Amino acid sequence: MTASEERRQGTLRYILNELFGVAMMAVIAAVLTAALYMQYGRGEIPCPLCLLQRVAMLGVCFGLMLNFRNGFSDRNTGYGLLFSVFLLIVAVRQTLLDIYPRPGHEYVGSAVLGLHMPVWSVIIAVALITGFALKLCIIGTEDGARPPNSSSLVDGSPR
Amino acid sequence: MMAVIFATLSAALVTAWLGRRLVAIILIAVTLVLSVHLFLWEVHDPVYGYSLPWIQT
Repeated sequence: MTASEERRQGTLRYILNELFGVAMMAVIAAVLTAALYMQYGRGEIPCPLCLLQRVAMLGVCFGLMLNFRNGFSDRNTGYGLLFSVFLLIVAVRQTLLDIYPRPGHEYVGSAVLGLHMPVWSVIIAVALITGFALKLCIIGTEDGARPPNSSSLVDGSPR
Repeated sequence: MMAVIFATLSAALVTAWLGRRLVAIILIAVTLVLSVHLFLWEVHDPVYGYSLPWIQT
């Protein structure tokens, strides 16, 4: 690959990374805005697990923000993925808590498009994890760790 | 506990934005540990532990 092709590919990767980060932050901002509207506009008081899910979404934003602030790195994507998995665990547990009406769990909040908040949270978590996976597949770099004896490699790939 | 979690999370986001990467990462790690601890405490029941008896057949 020539130097100009490498530069062009690097620029394209940078732009795609920027677009990915902006899109993901916009989605999370929209979700958190909707949650705040439900809380203050519709009087749906969040439970502790709901608040932990907001913490997890802001944790995903932390990884994205580090990307914007310090340059793109797989490590920052890892922070976002870590909080996405935490979001999924909390959301699934809350869905299972509210899956069957019983004393103390008669009302689980209003539904949006037929789905309750914890179920939406599961969908959002799966979407975030899928988004990160697609990002790593499509615009990930080839700058991974190499074995110490690089002479055993042909064109950067193991024989 | 929830207030502490949001405080450390806010501090992590602010320090990350100010470019103090190491401090930000330590703070976000503290946030995650506290969040996991609170989550486990919230879902634990003295009788049933972490099980879900209402969906067991």
